[in-house]
Amino acid sequence: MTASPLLDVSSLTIALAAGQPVPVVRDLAFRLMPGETLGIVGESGSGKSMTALALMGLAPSAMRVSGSIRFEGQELLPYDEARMTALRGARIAMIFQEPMTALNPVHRIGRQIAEGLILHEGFEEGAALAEAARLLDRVGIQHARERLSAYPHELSGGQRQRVMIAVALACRPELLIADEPTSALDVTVQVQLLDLIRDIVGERKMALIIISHDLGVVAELAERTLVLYGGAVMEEGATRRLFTAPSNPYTRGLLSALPGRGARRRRLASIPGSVPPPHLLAPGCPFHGRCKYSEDLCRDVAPAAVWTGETLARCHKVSRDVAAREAGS
Amino acid sequence: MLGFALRRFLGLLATLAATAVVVFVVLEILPGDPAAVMMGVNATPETVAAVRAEYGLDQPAALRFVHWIAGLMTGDLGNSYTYKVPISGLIAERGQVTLPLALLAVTLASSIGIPLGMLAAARANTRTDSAVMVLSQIGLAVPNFWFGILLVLTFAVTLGWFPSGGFPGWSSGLWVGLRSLLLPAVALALPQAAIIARLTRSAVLEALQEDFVRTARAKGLTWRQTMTGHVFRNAMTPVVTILGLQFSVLVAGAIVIENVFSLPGLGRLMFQSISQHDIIVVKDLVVLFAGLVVVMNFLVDLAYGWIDPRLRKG
Amino acid sequence: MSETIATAPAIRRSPWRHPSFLIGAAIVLVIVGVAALSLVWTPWPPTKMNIPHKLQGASAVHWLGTDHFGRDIFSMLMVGARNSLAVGFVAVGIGALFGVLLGTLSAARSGTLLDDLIMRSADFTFAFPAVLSAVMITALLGPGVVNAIIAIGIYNVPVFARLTRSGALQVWSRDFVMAARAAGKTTWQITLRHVLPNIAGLIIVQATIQFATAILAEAGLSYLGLGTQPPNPSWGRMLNEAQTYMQTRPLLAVFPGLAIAFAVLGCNLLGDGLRDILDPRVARSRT
Repeated sequence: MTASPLLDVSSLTIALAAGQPVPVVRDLAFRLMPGETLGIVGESGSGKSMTALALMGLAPSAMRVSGSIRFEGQELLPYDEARMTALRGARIAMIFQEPMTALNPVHRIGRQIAEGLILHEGFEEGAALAEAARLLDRVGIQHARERLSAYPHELSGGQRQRVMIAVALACRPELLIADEPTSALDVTVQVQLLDLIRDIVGERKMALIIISHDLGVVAELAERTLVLYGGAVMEEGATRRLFTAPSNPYTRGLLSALPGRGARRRRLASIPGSVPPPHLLAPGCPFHGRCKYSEDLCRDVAPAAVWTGETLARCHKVSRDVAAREAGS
Repeated sequence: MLGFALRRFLGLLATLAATAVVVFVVLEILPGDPAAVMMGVNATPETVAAVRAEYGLDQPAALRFVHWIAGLMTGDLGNSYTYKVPISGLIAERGQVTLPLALLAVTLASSIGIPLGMLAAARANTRTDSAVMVLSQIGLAVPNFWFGILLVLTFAVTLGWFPSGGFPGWSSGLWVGLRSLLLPAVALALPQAAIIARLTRSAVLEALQEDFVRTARAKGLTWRQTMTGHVFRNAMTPVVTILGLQFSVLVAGAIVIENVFSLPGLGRLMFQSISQHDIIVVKDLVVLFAGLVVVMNFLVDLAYGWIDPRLRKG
Repeated sequence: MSETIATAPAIRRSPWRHPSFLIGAAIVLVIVGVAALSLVWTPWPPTKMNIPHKLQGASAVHWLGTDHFGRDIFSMLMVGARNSLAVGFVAVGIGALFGVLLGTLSAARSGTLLDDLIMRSADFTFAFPAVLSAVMITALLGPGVVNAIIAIGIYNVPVFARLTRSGALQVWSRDFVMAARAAGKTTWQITLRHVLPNIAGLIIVQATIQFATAILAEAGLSYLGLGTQPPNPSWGRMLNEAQTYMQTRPLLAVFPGLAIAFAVLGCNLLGDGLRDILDPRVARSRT
């Protein structure tokens, strides 16, 4: 029953190399099985995009990545450029937030899709373009054959993002990482795009990591979700459970800040304060200082994960509550 | 693409026409009496009148202009006052020196400048980068005619590898002719290479910041593949523009360099004609130079449109 | 990416952190100092001929030697500095004055026929590089330093016009200008109070760079005999005269050229440094 995980990340730490290294992602760990979808939720500065880039080996050179990333059993750290180049696009693919700038404006889209095929799978140009047309069709671009010779600026934002998906799918990767794929798009287009991603991922049995600050997007696609704050996991678990029965104060704060919940409230609840810059975060729990339950312990010691019955949470208060509950029963 | 080219071509014709008018006005109408200018202050009225008649300068301005344009198009430019030979022949003969010189200089400048710029960008903020930047600053600061003199001092006078001046003509053989043009071309090319290097560097650096570079890497392209397939094509746009614009500076630089190396080219002709007050030749040469520049800009525009498809709508 | 990691330190705006600025400023100061000094003192009268002592090498008496007329090279270089600076200053000043005027006008009346006309004329003038227009003008008016200044100035006008126009247009499109217009400020009030101060940095940087070009242009014209006329010393003409004596006294050709290169280098570095300091966007792209 226990198949081996597709992706096994443990103790992942990404720090900005400086006199005093500033951690941007701290001690991250998760597993992804083949065909599973994982959501990573967090605000700006939570480290979610940096994590995604680190999985691809594309983190900026100023960042030091340490820990362990095992993909299909192979350890990726420390990065070996040749190995990473072989993986990118072929086994692991990524789509980004801004489709306009993510596509090269001077190349036709057919060529941009075909590039991966020619590179990784040794296709001839003609065969690659034919496959590109099929992919365009699959992602919902009308008149795929003619559109092969179009330039990115001739398409709408939603169409460009579909092209990006086609680019990512070309070599049939096992894992697709989508970093805020819909944030730059109109709401109606967002829905269509999410449906498309869900269909394709299901059809091809690809694993998906969907990264977003938008809880709704993650709820749509992910079976399991990680909540990140300040580079550390606050809580993780099955998406439905996480959203209906969160324990970590941060997660609860996030969810209660959603408009529409508690329709009788007149003012939107919000988490007081704002995200501090990385070098000012507490070494213990990064939410210390904004959390209404903070104590000195929270500042100094990173909380261990504890199973609440619904989710896995990292919080000293939650740990105490769970211990109390178990002692009481 | 065709529509774009056509529109640009019409613009080219319009600018050429405007250039001709301006040159004519400045050089023939503004001085008042071109014949008097040509003869100098000491000439008697009779000589001036004779010259005026001989060169058709007594006809009304509009007529002269039309004549001139017709002459430019057919290649019959009349005779030079100083040399008493057909101007078109003069230009053709001198052009044999200047055009190859300019082409050689552009080739040298780009073959040195573009790779250096790319190298500096690929190794940004390292010592290689600083070295290239320092070299380019020096290249920009050095006057090209001084550099020419230094080249003559080193390679001609001291080492004797190249002639220190003059041009034996292409009839003596290709290599012989090129030998005379090499030092002057290097002198001309130096500041251009510096400009091109700096521009290439900044264009590549800017292109590297673009998101599609990250996409390319995410597809699994190596750095080299990313650079050649994606970065350079985008970075070349400003470089091509500058190359075209630099041509005009090159042509102007030829005036000075041909003096340094005593090359019997168009630049030297221009200079000599000015000293002799030969307005007719000066007029033809200036419109030729300016016309070349306009054509160059047109070609650059076309290249621009070909490289960056977003611009073809304009 | 939705995240911006605050990793880069604040852009250094302090002049002391920019080597280009410091070195450039130092060089320019030296040259200005020498030029100013030449007004009151030079080792020898620069135009005084002393044929018996012609073509001498460096000595305690003549620090850089003498030329073919026995004139002291060092003194001539000093006065040449004054000459180059003066020409550069006046030519760029004229060019900047008219150019900024036209550019501001063009931007304020953007999209109208006037704007179009000004820009087309500017583009057109670019077809005639400095040396070419100088050649035309001297053909017309005769050689001389004033004509050289006019020629170089004329070339500078479109450079400043285009720069001013594009900088001004950017300012015009910003929100606070929109607010000023909504508050009823006139075009000219906005131009004076908002547009000009915001493009001042751009113009200063460009002026410094154009200054370098002007020095080169003046040298080139003087080399051809079209610029500063004898007996006034000019670096360019010194080079021309030195060329004749290359076999016997090669160093004669080295010093004036070095002076020109030095001056141009200083101005370029200063301009680059100023740009780094005044325009933070450029600084960021260097990292």
